[in-house]
Amino acid sequence: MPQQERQKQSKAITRTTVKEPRKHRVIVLNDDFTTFEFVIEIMMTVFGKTYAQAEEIAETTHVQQKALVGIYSLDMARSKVAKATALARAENFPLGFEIEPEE
Amino acid sequence: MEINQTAQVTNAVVEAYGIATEKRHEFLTPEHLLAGYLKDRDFWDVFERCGDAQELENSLYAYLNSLDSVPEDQELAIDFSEQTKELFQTAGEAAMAAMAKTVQTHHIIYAYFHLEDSNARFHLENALDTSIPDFLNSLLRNSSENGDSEDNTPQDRWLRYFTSPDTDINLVGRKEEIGKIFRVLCRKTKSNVLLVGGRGVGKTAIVRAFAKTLESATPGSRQKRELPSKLQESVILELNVSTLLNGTQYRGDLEGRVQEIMNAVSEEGDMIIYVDELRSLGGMNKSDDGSKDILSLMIPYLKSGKVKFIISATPEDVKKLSSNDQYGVLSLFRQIDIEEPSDEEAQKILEGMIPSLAGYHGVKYMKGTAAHAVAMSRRYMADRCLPDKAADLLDEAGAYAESLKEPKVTNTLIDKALADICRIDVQAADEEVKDDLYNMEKRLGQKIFGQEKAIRQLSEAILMSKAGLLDSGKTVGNFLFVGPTGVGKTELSKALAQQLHVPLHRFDMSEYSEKHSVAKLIGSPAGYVGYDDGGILTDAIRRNPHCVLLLDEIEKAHEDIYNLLLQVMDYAVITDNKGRKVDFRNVVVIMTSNAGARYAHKASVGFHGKADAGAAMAKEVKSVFAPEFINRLTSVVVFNDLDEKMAGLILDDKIKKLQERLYARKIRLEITPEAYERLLKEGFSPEYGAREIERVLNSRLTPLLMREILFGKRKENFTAKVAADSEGLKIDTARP
Repeated sequence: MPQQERQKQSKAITRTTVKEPRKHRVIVLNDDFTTFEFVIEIMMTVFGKTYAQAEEIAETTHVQQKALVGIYSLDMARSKVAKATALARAENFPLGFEIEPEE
Repeated sequence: MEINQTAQVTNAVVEAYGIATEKRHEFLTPEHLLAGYLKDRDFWDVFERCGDAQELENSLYAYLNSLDSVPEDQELAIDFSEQTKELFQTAGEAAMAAMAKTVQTHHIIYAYFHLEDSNARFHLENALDTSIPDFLNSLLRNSSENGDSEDNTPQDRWLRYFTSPDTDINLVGRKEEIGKIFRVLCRKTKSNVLLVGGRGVGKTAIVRAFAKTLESATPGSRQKRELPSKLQESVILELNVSTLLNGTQYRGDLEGRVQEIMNAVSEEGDMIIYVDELRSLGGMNKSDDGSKDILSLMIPYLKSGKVKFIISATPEDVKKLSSNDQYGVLSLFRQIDIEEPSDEEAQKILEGMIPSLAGYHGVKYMKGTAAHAVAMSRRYMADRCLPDKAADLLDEAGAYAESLKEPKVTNTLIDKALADICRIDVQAADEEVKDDLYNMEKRLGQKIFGQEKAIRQLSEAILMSKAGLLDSGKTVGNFLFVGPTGVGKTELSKALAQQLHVPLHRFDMSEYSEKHSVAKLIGSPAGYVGYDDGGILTDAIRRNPHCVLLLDEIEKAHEDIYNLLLQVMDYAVITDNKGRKVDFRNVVVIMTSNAGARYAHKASVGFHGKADAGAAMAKEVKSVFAPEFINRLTSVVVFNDLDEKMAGLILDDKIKKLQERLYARKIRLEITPEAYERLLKEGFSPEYGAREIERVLNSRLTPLLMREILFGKRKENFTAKVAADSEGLKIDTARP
């Protein structure tokens, strides 16, 4: 039946145009004001890292000016970054993040 | 965002929140929300028609379960994720663009398709078979059927169309009241009706009938022509106060809601708001913290006339409100009094109710039960209103019949129901009454000795009242018993109460000798401690309007009590502290007094004889009591002094009672004639009456028995022979 074919066609079309959602990388940036301890705390509470992992991230940021925090869905990435940023601003830290899609 | 969202949207959010809480996720994401939507039966159904709802659910939960959870020891605080916020933003814009008043589900779903790199969108699109526009279309079409409609606004949550089930509308009479209601509603300003009447008198029924008339006023119908033109298009809405209050937590929430409702309703026009209880709107207590109650919030709307109100209240509520009425709310209403229906009307109303009652209980109501219920409830349930109290009787009788598996409800069952509700033994009172009345004098004589004249006076008065020959606006009888102490005044009252099968309420007036004692009897005035407790006397009579009221030692009462009694004796009514009238028309009032008692004694000892004793006593009574008091008495009943013959009878009676008690322990009591004489001599005292005899028995005879029973060789099952000896009495125990 023509209607069914049309539907299948649109399904096919939809299927090819719908991409899998991309994951995104969250990157933390270094600055001269945010303290080491604060970064560690943020990593643990917002991004669920262990102390060891958090310390390593803080180190890397300090040395290399930026570090990879983790890979999340876009929504998660944005939400976590927003949360972390808000916490930082509350302490008057200019802590910054970047979100990049994984290609 | 200023616009509202529909209930379906809110519910989905609530469900989503629940899922996030359960899984301890820190963010409520579009995936959560979509899963929340799938819990809605209607949404699921629509989706099923357009795709595979189960597939969607599975993939969503797979994703959700992969998310990090907040550890148990950390506090869980759930926020909307960034994309969820985006979702609502987009949805709101879409709704506004479509000139919709509220954000609906299809707006939200539309927003999903604009999310970037979203799992929710991905799974949603995958699970759909139809095209996206088709799906959105389905949602849109479905919304008006299934509670996502725009009409599901807050206003409509708190107001319900006040319709009535077709049965049970049986408005008998009340044409005048309905006419009044029409007139008030057609006024230009202050077109608000306040129906005032006791509980159960039929206020809500009137409004229901009114609503039905409006409903059935289809174009061209007779009802429509009967309605005044201004009310032709009117609709009655009931305000659900509890839902209105539910959820208001902040200052201004309640005000906001009331405003919303009133504005919406005024705009619609032709709306009548009905509130069942004035009390629920507040206004009863003086509030000084600035918080307003609903009633005062409605004042501007009451005045404007754009919205009409009908409110029901009891007279007590109205009274309370008017004393607290800071804003003059009452003047904005036109009060319409709804009185109890007449007996015939009440009967008709009940007859109309019987079919549905019969159907519910599965029984048949005999002819005449309606009339009987009306008569019985009028007589015995004085503190409630017809037709409700009679309907109650019929309902309870029906339940009775149902439980006893009897197919018919008879008058007897109604009596049983009444006895249950009012704690009155109607059957005993009615059936035996004739027999009892006939023998009352005789039976009283069997209990009280030596007071034949008193008993005769009392019986005659009672019988006259029962025959209906006395003035119906008065009590059954007002009696003053005078005589020495211990001759049977209180006993006679007790015996009378027993004979009439009514309770005896006894008040010892020596407890009421102070000025404030009146408050104990009828209740303290408003504002005083104990206002809510009511009065002992008024409560007792209200609960048992058929009774014998005994006021002992009336001369000891405070004079304020006298004044109260004057009213009772003349008009058979007292108004209690709350303003309720208590009916004394079925009360036998007996007051006892020792005034003039000494003359009875003196006269019999002296040489004037009994006739003069009576005159002397009457004189003393006149001097102690005010003339207006004596005037209102049915009769002054003089009790004779105790003479030897009476003392003998009393002694016999007491010994007999003792013997009965001992019989239970299988002890036989025999008293020799000498012992008997001894007891009589010691016990007989005109001054102290029969009580002396009791005392003598207790000091002479009973102790002997007591020793035998407690410490004697035999504890029971023996014959005790009581004989007199030089000192007193002695007891001999012998074998049975």
